[in-house]
Amino acid sequence: MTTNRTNRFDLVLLSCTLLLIVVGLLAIYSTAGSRYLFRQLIFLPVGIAAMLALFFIPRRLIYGLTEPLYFLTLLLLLAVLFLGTGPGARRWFQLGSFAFQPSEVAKITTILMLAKYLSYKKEPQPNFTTLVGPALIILIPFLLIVVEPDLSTALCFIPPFATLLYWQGFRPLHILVIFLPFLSFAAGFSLYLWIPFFITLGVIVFIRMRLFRAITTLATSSFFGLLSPIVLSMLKDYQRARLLNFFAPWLDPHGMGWNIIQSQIAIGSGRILGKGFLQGTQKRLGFLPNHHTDFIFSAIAEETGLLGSLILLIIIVILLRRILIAAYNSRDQNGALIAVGFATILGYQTFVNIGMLLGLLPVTGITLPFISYGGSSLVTCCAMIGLVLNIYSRPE
Amino acid sequence: MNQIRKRVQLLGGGLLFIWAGLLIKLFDVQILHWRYYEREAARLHYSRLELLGDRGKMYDRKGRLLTLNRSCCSIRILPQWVRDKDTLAQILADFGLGNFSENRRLLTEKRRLFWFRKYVDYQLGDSLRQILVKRWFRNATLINDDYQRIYPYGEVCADIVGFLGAERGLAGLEWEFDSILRGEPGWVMLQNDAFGYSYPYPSYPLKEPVPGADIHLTIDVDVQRICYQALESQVVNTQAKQGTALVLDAKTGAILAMVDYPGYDPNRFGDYPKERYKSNAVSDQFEPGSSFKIVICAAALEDSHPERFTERVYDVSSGYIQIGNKKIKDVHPNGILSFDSVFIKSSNPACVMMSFEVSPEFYYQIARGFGFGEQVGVGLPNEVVGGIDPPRLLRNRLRFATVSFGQGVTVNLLQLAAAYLCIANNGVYLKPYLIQSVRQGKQDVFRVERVASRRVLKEETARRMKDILERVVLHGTGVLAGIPGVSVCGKTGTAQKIEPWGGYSDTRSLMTFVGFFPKEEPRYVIAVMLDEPRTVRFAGSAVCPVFRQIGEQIMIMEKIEALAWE
Repeated sequence: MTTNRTNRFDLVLLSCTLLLIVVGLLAIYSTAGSRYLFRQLIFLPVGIAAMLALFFIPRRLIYGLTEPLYFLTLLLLLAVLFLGTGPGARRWFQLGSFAFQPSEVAKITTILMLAKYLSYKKEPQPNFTTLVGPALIILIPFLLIVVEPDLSTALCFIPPFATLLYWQGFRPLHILVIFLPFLSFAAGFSLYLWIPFFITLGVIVFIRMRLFRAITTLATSSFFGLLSPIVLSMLKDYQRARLLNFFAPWLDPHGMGWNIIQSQIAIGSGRILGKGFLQGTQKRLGFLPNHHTDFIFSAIAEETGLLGSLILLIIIVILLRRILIAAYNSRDQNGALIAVGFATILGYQTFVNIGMLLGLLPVTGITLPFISYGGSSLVTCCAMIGLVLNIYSRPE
Repeated sequence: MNQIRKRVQLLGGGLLFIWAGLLIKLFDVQILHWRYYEREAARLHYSRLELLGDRGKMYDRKGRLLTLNRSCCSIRILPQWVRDKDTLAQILADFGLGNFSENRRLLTEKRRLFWFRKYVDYQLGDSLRQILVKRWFRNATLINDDYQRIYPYGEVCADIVGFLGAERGLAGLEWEFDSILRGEPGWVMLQNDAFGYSYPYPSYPLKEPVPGADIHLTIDVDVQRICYQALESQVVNTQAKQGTALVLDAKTGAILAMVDYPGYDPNRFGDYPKERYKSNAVSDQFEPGSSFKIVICAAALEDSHPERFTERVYDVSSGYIQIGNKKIKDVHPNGILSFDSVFIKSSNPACVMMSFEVSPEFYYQIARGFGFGEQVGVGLPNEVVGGIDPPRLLRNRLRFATVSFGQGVTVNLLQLAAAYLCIANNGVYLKPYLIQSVRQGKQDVFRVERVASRRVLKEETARRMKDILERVVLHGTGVLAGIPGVSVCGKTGTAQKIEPWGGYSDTRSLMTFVGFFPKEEPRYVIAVMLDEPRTVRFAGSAVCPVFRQIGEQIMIMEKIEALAWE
């Protein structure tokens, strides 16, 4: 599969991207009208420019600028905590009538930084001390975004961390052990979640590990699992409510639960062929919340039915496959890691967003890449694709 | 390289695994359970608004409206949805609906949907609705188009027309014909949005309401009023508990008037006791007394050998007749009476003597022929049937004896009037009726055909009875019923009331007079009843003047109408 031709170009990836953008623009027009469409259209040239720039700029230059860019992002994330705006949180810089969201840019720069750091060392031995560096790279922006507060965006940084470690040679089991305390703590909020979690974990651990380690692992995970109900019981009622709302918004049935029911009604009543473009009643009558951002997929599913949502999912999976192929073909370790990171973050966002709308996953404020209304998100996604096209065209 | 291939495969496999999860759920929601979600969507997005059909109207025989519908608004409030009770209370007070503190108290005390006001002026309701939408009280208030039923003739026609309550008719024809008058409510589909607004949509289904059918009655408001005034003055004069008057058209059996005094005003029905809501002419049964003697008279004259009764004399000079150990008395001794004078003087013992000769079966047949013990069925609620003993029981001599002069049977005033109508009509029974036709728009839904009539008496019998009844008025008990210039036929009746402890009362009685005029070509049958008049003892002086007043005024009315036609 590898060739030495230097002027290859991934037309499939580009056309998938443009297709998704067009679908997104149509969906924004249908859900929010021409005013939002024009606002989004203003960002389209910016996105294309970012894509072209990252395609043509030599990667050596990008790698060289990785650290300054990363630290600049951290500065922005810090600044937004003091200067930012947003409903009940500080997430955006208000620039005139437009808002700029630094956490979107952080997705790119953090992955660049992590990829560069990991590519220095070839196939490291699975040793926990080697993890301190990568963990810090992820953790700093993660925490900065958490305190905005924007837990759901912050959580986007965790899956790329896992996949990049895996790509770099870590065994999946070890990666699991690394994340165990967090998973266990999160699962501990609900007994019904924790029991299947614990059983699955026990089976995996006893098959793949030596007895002593297995027991230690289970004990650690039990400890963190028990910690969360204890923490909960020590808190006062209103504090507990706030914490639960923060970590587990899906436990509040009156707030977000209602929105999910509305989203499912929209999707379900779309049936096979949908109600037709601009004809979605759930959307038009205002039952779908944020229907041009987080809930845009429900509106698409309502208006185009199973057929439309299926096509959308297939386009996205082709796009992700092309990114993975770019990683596979790249003989530049750094580039491959970047591509894997981007694929993970895009796949994660799509899955979490659609999974939430279908009622599979808890409610989070994650947007659908390429489709949802939002300038920062569109430009970020375009930039990612530009860089992946760059990596694909020049594998060395 | 091999390792990298493995890693790509695992990542790709993970991706496909996750995507399969999404697809399965998508399939579940959009293909397997779409019906549920579609129903939920319909429940959220559409609502039905009932459209009220105009309630059917009632007309009298001359086309005058007995009921009016006034468009108005009715306001209901859901207090639990009112966020700012002070503001809403103030807005309502500003519109002249109650005062602030009263409204506030209502809004805080009530827990569930309640009627705040009914029958608010339409314009006021409409502008209030707009203000409430603007001030975000739309969810908490329901302002419906409604109509208020107005009864322009008030007490005069109340017993027949009845009245409309909050939901449905509660008395009279409004009650009995509620479903016909109501029509079919229509509906319109509205689209609701998530913020509580509703939009009618031109392409959305709509069912126009069908207005209720109109009822054309046989009554004449003028005659009603004449009867009402006549009753009013006599009830007051005699200090009676109540009075009832009934006028029939003698040619057709149509009910021209049916009035109770004291009545009630249907526009303010709540202010009156419930007992007044019914129409006593059909729903009150009583022992008729002497006015029932026409049955024994008819039975005697219809006998195969009527001379058995007419060619003999009745010696009642003792003033009583003994049956077993029971004495049946006259009010004052009458001496020796001929057949005719038995009825002119209204002698009870003489009727008893006749009853010894008449077969119970034949008597019963005649009574049923007159319509006693049979529901007339004019369409008013609570119509009573009355009762007459079957022949089996009449074989008891004492029992038959009392029935012959009108004790031990029960009738209502309409049945009594119908029996006299039969005599007036030369022996042909006509069923009285109240409803001329029911019309939906310009089309008849129902029209009274000429009621199947039956011959009860031979024509000569009827003529003979008319002669007797005329003489009752000329020089018998009904003298005061005579109208100058017209030959009036009629018969009085004084029935003693049964005391609560059994036995007949000496002081409390129910007096009736039923008559018709003119004798040869009768046009009107008038029945009058007074319940417990206190200042007079006999029917002749209590009810006959009422009959006379009604009869005279009807004739004056006729003359005026005749003049108007010329």
